[in-house]
Amino acid sequence: MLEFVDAHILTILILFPVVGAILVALVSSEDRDLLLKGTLGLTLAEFLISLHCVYRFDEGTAAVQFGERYRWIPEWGVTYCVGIDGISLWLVLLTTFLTPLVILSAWHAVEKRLKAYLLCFLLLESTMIGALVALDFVLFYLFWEAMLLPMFLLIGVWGGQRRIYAAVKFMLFTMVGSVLMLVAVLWLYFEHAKVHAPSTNLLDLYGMSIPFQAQCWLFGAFALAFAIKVPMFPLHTWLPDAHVEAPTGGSVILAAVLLKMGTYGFMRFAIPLFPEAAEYFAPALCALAVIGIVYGALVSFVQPDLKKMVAYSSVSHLGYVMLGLFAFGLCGAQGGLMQMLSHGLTTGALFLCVGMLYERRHTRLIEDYGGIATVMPHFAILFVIITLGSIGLPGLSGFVAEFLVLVGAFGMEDRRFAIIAGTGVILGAMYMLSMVQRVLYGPTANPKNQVLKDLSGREIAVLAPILVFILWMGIQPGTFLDRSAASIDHWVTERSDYRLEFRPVRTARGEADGEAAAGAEFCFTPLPLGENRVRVGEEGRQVALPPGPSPDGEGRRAGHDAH
Amino acid sequence: MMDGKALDNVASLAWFAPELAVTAALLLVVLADLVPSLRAGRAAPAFAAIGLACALLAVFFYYVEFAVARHGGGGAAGGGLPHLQQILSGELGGATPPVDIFAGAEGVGRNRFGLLRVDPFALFFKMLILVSLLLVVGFSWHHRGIRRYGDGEYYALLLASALGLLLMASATDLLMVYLSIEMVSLPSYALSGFFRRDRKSSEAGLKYVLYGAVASAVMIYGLSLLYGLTGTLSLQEIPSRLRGTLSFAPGLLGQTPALSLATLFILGGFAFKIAAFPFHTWCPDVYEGAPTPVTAFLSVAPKVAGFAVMLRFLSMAFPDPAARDAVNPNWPAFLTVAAVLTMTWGNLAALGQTNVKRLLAYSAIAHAGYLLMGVVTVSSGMADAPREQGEAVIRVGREAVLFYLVAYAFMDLGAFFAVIVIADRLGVEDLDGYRGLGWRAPAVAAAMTIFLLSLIGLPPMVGFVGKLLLFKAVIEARLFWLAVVGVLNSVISLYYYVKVIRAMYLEGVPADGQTVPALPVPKFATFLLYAMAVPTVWLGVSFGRLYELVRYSLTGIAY
Repeated sequence: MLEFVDAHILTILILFPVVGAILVALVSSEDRDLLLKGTLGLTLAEFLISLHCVYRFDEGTAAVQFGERYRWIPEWGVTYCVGIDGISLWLVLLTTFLTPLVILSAWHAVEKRLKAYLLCFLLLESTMIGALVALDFVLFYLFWEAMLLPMFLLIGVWGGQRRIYAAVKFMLFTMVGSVLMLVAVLWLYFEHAKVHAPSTNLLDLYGMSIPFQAQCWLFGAFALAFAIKVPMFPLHTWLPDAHVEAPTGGSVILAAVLLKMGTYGFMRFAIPLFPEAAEYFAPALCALAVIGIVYGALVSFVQPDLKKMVAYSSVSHLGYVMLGLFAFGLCGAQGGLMQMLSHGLTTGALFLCVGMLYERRHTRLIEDYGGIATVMPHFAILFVIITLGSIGLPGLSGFVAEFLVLVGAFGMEDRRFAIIAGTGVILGAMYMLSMVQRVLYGPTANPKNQVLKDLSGREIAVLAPILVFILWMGIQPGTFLDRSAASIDHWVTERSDYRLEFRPVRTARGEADGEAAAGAEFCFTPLPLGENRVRVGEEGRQVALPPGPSPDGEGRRAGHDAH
Repeated sequence: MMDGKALDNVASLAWFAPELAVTAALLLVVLADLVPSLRAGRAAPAFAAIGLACALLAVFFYYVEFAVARHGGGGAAGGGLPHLQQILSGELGGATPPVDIFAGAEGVGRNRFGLLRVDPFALFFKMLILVSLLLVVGFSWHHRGIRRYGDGEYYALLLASALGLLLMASATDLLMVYLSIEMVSLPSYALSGFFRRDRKSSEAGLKYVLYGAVASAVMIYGLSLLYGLTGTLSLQEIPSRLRGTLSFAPGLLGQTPALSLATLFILGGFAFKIAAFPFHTWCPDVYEGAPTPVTAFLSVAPKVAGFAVMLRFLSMAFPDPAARDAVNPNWPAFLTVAAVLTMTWGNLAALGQTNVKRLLAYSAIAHAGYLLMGVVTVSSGMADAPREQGEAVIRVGREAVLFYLVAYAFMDLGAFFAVIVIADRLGVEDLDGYRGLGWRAPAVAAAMTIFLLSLIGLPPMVGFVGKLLLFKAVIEARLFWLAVVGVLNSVISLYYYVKVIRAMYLEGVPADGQTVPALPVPKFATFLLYAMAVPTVWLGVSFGRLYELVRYSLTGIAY
């Protein structure tokens, strides 16, 4: 049993929430308590399973680990291939960590259609993990698109006033980018198939030598898809709408994980696949990133709505991630990854805090609050720490991330980016602190605010774990950086000819050997007999390759020639 | 190209069983309508279903016969069953020569190459046509309006149309092409005006007739020009005749103006059948006005058969893949323009629709555009490529078309059936009536969502795989701009499909305490819905088998 779990850990991570969703679907929708507790239990179990990944993760290598690879559509070289490396490890963990907290926060907040709400989250979790661990383009695209639907429903059904507008806008923006990416993927596939056996496996597509001109187009298509998701200035307009209208849980997951899909996409796909084009466009993208940093901060400053303010602060914070990635240095990339995690935690927590306030007062306008600290002292303490974490106070997670990004940015030829981004830090402190001041302190002018209840035990239980990690990341970032160091280092130094080694699951018996892994391959579609070709890969692993149409169409024409 | 065996009239009957079965069912339906007890006992739909099922079985046997490559010279078909396993496991044989039937001495209505051709290509389309017709019979079975206006006439017309569709898939003779298309069109006119006392339905019928008459006239003019140029009715003979007789100077419409004009007109006739630009304008009105089962039928079966006859015509009459031969009209250019305009127009016009039936009508037009992309994978980009490569690329395009047609048949019929069920229960076809349906009738709404997602082309539905294949083919033909146009069109289409999903799930959401009147849906209807929804998802996940089938079905055709 344990061995089986070991050998299929990522598939289990993907499928467990789906199975959970089926179980939850069987529960009567009247039984709120069982629904909530059951879902919470399931998501906690999922978190524990993902901890297993961290525990067994080999930090000494840049290879993708816990790999599983099965043939899916042999004719086209489509595989079911999943794996995890130092880059995706923490993002997966962030997903599994936040989902139970989001469920916990829904206890009283969600009144209508609770069951469907929980189902959406379980399916969302499954697809997010799927997108993060997929190493095959078809599989990735499947999860990438499937992610939209639960989020669409979350915004559209449980959202605020203009929820439907926001949901449709979210869907349309994301789709525009992703279909163009699909065309680029197809182009890439054909270029690859001209020389090699056809494959949609990312690991096979790395390291192709693509002419510069073509790289630029392809990078453009990929970058558009991911930049919309990040979102980068000026493609960010869907984000405030989606965030403001989404229910608290939806906002948390949207900010913490869905946006990271964009930056993760740059790290995993756009930059390593098209290194020259990435380098060529880097100044432009860095410029957009710093514009985003400053613009997001300035716009946040004038927002009357708490949620909208946090949403715009995301635009600013993710600008740092992009700047860090496109600085192409070790510090910058590590900072980018740290910022992804830090932003996930702090912004997620901020949205939760706003949600808690909203549950009490049913308003999100900053001017409606004031002096909350005196009536809700516990809330005030937590809220301030989270805000400081977001600003980047030393000792908290944001500091490490932004510091590393700025160090990385200073290493670039053009120092202006770093200088402007540095001012963004100050701006960030300004809008955040002024918001804290206006919400928490001052006189409790509004009588409605004088009777607010402080946080319940459940609400503290939602925020406390996040707080622990915000502190942990600030004080001991090594825990996180060490595990991803090898992957990031590989990503930075081998960027111009990026390849990833595929390492099958280490079974309990010890190291997996190549042949056992090949033997374990399971066939979704039976192949015509005797047509299997076997290629020995560079690392000596054996990969059974399906017969496929060769680029000049010999395979397809075979039937015709026989006439 | 392979030369098939040409059989005389008597020997041909052995390969004509599906058409005979449909004809027999047609006669039985007409006769049963005269007997009051049978009429009351609803014999007409039963006969229709049995006839279509028998035809499907016969087609399937023929297909098996080809697939295992065992049919002897002119012998009767049969003995396919033992090889079922072979087919199901995907072990299809190599290319088998086609069978040409109803050949005779040269003369009008006869040609020595046969009027019809039975090959895996035709049989594939016949299977698809018969399956969709069986589903349409299922939709109509409990339809109140159809029962009120008379079962007998309805099913008789449907079967007559079916006969035409089967002939369309096989036709290899210009006259046969024309007659089979007319044979589909005439009953279709009557079917769309079937609700005689309904103004919209009558209007639909009349509009369809008028447009149909024009398209038909244009097409027969084109066919007569082609006949005049070549002196033969046989598609098989056209290439050699063209090469032998034509030597025109370059002119406005390419190197051979008369041939180009003839081709353009003939393609116009096909465009009418598949509802493509510029003969698409009848489509929304007819689809909206016609009884919904008829709309479902019209949006799938004639389109499938239209693509069959178009592909057959193009590959037999103009077999040069690069279209650079002096005697080749520039048909890819015509069709590329048609494809772009069809999908763009269909999608843009669908954006503002509030009637779901009409919305699906525009979506059907848009899908004709997507499908046409797969037909035009011949381009100047491939001109300097070797001939083999050009052929391979065309083949990929054809595969995509066939695959997408299967996907389209399931998802589009499914969507229309969901509309039928909802209209039957709620009496509405407007988007407003769909509000909150996701919570009132979860099974129907879920199925509808699956169909709509598939029509958008989102994974893991079969529509995604279909679109993937189409874009793949277009990109392989180096028509990048066309792929981008197609992709952008998919995004536009997202908006109006999502409008339906939005109405069903996001609007009119009842609060938890609020009790919503659940919508009772008949078991038979739910079963039929999921009979289409399950393949829509399943084929999207595991489509290798279907793809093999498609590939095999194309082995008999010119390239």
